[in-house]
Amino acid sequence: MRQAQKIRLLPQRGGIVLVLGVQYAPLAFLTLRAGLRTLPREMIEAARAGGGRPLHVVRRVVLPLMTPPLFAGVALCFVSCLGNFGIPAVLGIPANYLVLPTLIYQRLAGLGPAVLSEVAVLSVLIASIAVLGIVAQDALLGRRDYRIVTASVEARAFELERWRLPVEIALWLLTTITLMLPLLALALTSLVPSVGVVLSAASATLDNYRFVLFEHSATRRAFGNSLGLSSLAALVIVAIAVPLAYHLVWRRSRMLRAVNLVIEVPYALPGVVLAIAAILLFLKPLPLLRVSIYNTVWIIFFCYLARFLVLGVRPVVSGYHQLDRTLDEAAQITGARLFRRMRTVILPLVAPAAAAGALLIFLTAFNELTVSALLWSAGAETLGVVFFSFQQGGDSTYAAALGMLTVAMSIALMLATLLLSGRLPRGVLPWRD
Amino acid sequence: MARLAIERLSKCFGAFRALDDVTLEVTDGELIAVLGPSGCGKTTLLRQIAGFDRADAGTITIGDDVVTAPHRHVPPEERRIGIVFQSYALWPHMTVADNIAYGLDVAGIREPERSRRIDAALSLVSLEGFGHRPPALLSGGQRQRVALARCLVTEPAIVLLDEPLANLDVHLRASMEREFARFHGRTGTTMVYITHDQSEAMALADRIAVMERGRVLQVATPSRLYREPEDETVARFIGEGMILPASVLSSAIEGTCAVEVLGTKLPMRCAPTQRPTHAAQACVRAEDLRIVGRGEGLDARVTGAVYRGGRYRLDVALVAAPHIELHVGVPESSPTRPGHEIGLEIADGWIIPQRRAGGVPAPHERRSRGC
Repeated sequence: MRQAQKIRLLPQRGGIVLVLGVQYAPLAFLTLRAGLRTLPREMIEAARAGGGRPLHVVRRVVLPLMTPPLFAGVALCFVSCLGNFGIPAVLGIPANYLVLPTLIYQRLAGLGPAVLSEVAVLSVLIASIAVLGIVAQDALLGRRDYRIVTASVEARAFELERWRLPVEIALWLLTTITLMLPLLALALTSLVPSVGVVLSAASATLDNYRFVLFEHSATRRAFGNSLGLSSLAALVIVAIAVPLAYHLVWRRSRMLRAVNLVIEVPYALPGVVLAIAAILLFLKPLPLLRVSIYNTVWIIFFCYLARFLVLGVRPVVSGYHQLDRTLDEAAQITGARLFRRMRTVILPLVAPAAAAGALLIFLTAFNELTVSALLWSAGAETLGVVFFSFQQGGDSTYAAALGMLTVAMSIALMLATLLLSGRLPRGVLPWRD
Repeated sequence: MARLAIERLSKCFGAFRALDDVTLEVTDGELIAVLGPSGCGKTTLLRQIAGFDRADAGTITIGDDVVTAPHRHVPPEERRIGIVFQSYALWPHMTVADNIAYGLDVAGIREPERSRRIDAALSLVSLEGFGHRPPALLSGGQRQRVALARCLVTEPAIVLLDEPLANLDVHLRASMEREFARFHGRTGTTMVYITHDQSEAMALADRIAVMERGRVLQVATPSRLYREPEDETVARFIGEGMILPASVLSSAIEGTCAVEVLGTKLPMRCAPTQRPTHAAQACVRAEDLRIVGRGEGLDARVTGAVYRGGRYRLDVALVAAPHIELHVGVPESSPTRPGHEIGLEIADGWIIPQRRAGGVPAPHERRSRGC
């Protein structure tokens, strides 16, 4: 009850909009930054040489040229918010403020497969709206999704001079408000026995961590499931991506170009759409094999493969692009067949890019909720699902502890990529150049 | 070692005709240079021989095996060829010895034969003791030699070299040129050497095939190419030849004929089949032109001078035909300067043979065939 009251402090619609905004601001940032990176520095230099002051140059040269990436960023955020499940679920469901993904979830969770045809209609509706956004983004950017690959060209920086300090302070403030404060709240909540208790030396406890790590069997299972699903998905996708990207980059054909487009669809469309499609596909036992993967982790695994394939393919594709094709041809003329060349020449050379892709997949899948919220079953929970059910059941302190653990793990893995940094093609990981 | 025969090979990229009816015969053990400006199709030709791209028409035969023909395309890995790439294409994650051993491993060659051949290849390129190094720690010239060793170790039927010296600096280039010539002498491998540098081609090749816009214009020994070009483009491209309009007055007698150039009569070298004509072209080299006193020879005017180290290259315009650009070399001590009026004497020249029937078709005929 306390939970619901607390949430009402934040008006539902405004709160959801605010949190979605914070969540997807990086998408707009990355899209715009990639656009700025491809802006030839001569354009700015020519304007400066023509006597334009920095603000004038921004207004007359930079902004007009950045209109496509700006609007594309808007379209991308639109599609992402449309498909987001976690935020409206946590903030909206307790107050019965519903959006399409949470409506689909509620109908399906409450009434089961009986309402499948109804939720199928809803997911077609959400997919159609999403397609509008995707088409708009495509038209503006010529099919480049900067969630997946960022372009890196030397940028022409403006000297801020005396404005530098105020701007830096403002940026740090923004970071603090959008990132540090929520994280701090999470950390503090994870250390108190129940929500509302003031944290002090006396009230601080690690019980929440002990509970989620050692006592609660569903959480333990979920850790295992999420770790297993994410690592397996990362491995399988990389195993598919390396030969697939080889053909995409070096053996271009019309069919491959179609494949290149198709693999982006499950990632671009909202996750609920994919989940409903998977239910419809696997509700009946598989033909010939006569086993059903419905209500097992494997239906989630299937969705991870479909949804995150593009996250593995894109970095590997840019890895190939930065590789001299003659390295493969030199092996080919010695008589080495494709499989041998893959093993001895190609794989070692694209390994850093493949590792980056695997990491992206792992991180995304490990923190994933949308797909598994619709597809989980007893024994096949993921971390996202357990977190969500803690939150729904009012156990916010357990949820916070679990949240802190996954955040810590994600940060650790992101830091680990620094070890790879020297060997990675530029622009493969969104968080580094 | 094997001969290489290319017959009527064509390749289009979209509407662009990259190879246009190319025919080329390379005899066993020969080093042939394919020479032409960038975009002339020489790299496309190399990729065709290697089998990286499929041909649209024509055949390629290596030894006795037809590797490219209509409805037949032997993949590169089965063609028994070696390539030295312009970028060297050394695998950065393998040592020098691993790079060289790769082809041996693919062929299933085991120790001790494997080590023996790696050592032999390393010593062939004078890189003994470099086997354990990664390619990144080698200089440009050393990488070049590793690439050569890697391609020779499997004893391929044919070695293709794609502008192998283009990435080296001038000094290294000269010494690598000599080394390539030595290798070729020692191994006797059939080699196809792609280059845009005519001095490189002249220095190395038994014969040179000059390419332009996807066609082979002439295949001949370096000396023949220089002295007796069969085509205006070849004449201009090789050794900066100058073309003068000429009238041939007599048929060929013992390789020369009587010619009138800009009102002056003189003998010139020509093909044995040369017939009298008013529409001939004479190819003249800078060393064939001599500056004489004003009033003698052809009246001319010096329009420019470029210093060439110990010598000047003078640009000269004829008074009778100012649109024809001529150039002539003079020693640094020569008093002749831009603006001077001089006389020009033609000491030697070559009459470019008339197109034979069945030769390269005229441009308008080619266009009609399209892609």
